[in-house]
Amino acid sequence: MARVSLKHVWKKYSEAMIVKDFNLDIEDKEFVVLVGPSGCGKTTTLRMIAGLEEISEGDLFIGDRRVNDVPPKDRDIAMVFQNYALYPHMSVRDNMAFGLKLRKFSKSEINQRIREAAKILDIEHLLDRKPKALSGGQRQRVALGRAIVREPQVFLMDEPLSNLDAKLRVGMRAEIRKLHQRIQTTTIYVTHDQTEAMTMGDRIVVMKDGVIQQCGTPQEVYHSPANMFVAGFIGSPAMNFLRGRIVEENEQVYFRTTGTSILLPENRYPICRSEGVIGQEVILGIRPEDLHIEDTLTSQYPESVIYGKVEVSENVGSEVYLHVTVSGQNIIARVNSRFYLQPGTLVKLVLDMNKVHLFRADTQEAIGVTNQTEGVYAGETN
Amino acid sequence: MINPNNRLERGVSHIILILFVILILLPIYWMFVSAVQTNDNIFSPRFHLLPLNVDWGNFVQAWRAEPFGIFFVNSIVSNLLIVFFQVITSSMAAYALAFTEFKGKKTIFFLILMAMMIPMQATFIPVYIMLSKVHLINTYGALVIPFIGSAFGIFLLRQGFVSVPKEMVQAARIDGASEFRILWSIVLPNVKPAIVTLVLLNFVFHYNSLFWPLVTTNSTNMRVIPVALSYFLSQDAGQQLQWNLLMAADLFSIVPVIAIFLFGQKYIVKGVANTSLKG
Repeated sequence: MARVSLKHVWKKYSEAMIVKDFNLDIEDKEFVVLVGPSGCGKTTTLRMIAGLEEISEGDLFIGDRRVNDVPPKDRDIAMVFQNYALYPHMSVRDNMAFGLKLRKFSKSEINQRIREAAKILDIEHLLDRKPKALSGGQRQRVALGRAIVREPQVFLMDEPLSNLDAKLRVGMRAEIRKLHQRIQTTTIYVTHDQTEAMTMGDRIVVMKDGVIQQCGTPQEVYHSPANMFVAGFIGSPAMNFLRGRIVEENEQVYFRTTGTSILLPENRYPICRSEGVIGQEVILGIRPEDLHIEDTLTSQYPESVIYGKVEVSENVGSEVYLHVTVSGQNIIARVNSRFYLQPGTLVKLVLDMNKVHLFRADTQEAIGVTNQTEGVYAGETN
Repeated sequence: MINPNNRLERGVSHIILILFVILILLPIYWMFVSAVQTNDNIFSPRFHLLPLNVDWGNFVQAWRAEPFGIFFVNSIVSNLLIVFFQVITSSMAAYALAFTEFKGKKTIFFLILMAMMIPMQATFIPVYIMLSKVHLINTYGALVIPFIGSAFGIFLLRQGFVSVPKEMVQAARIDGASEFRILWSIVLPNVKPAIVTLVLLNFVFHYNSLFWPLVTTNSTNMRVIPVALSYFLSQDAGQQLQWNLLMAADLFSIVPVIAIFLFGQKYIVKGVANTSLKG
């Protein structure tokens, strides 16, 4: 087990910059998830750590060793691929033994390690089967098994759950987490699925266009997104954005959009003033669960109310996603399933103002840091 | 229930396929009919689909007419050597083209494709001169060495190799395997159809090859089957060509090819389909 450090790492293909100035320190035993949309450079970064891609610039350290020019086999890593990459002509046992045989382990050592890994992953009964006789989930377990028998310093996982169906994916997510808790190997996990990132990572690294957008714990990334990209990417349904302007009247600061003025909480005034956004165009972000529809709340906080028209109600069982048009802008409110409303219904929604995020309209960066996890209406049911 | 339209479609396609099979088998059948009758009967003006007389002795006579035992050994040994070396050289080159990154890879692949377009006959004279300078004419060296590298073989295997997931090769690299080990233990076992296709096509091509063995060998001890068969076509003036013996010799000559095809037919279909080499 080891730390992994990437210092000013770049990846260039002729003119194209795939990864730009990537800096990250991954602690020993940590589970870090690289997440982002397709083409954001997360897989390339992982492949550079694996040694499957050359590093154009910068330094990569595994433990205390600079490994830029060390071939993959000497980096003491193991990788799990999206398509499993099992050797189809070998049995499960031989798949797991292949790397150990090449490293000249004794037969008894190989057998013991395979037995232990198979027991952890519950694949003891599959050891003599060929990969094609296994289901997707079983293949994934074998791929994990092949990685853990090596007892490497670092695990690299490249979207290992993408080929599984939704139900199995949820199960395997927990399995991988449990496995990590058990063997405590430093793990770098790549996914495009924000739910996977949120549920699995000790820390999440959100990437876009080869650049780290934010790095932090799932809580930090969720509650204090650094910019609109992170805010929109993490969370499902995605955060709502309303375009408007910050105005100050009678020493009170408002967010004003067509036909609506929302009073900002007093603790935001100094930030708005110091950041010079008074009079400026901004984007207000609010998560669907931070919009409330209950009459008691809308009458209690009239200065935080917005009006809109329901376009669609999506019933997902325990709750309803209301797609609402507010001043020509579409937002989604996640409310209790008893508020299933017909399209065309006019609604009043109240914003949990302590959970509102403000972003600059030009740079899309967050204005101030709003590391709030407790809402004003915490404890209220919606 | 099969839809009547489907049934009609199937019936028509079966009839067309049967006609094609007849078209292909007819010459072989005619070869067999000719091989078991006298020369006079072959040219009998009476149309006959069955042999007018059956004389199995033609096979014995044809076998004894020339030292076929030696020719068989020469043909099989030289062809096996060609196939063996070609699989080795082609698989290594194909591996480099399919799984490694290096400058000029596309250019090299393009040159290989270009090489496939050069008619072999155009290279015969310079290659002959080279072989004669190193005194390899009339040896196995002359029959084998010019063919141990093949642009077609590299192309065929490269097409087969690219069907192997790159991640499998990368997983083996991370597992600690050398490139040779990956080729041998991971790639080759997964491209059996392509390998068998290369072996079969190569074996048949060189087994049938007449011109090169004819010009590079000059003693009976080094001759190969096609050259031996051509002996039946060069009779003295005034004598009739012995078509019946030629057909008999042809028949026992194709036995190794048929055997090798039967052995590899299930792979060749897969191999040709996988490598998009049709027709």
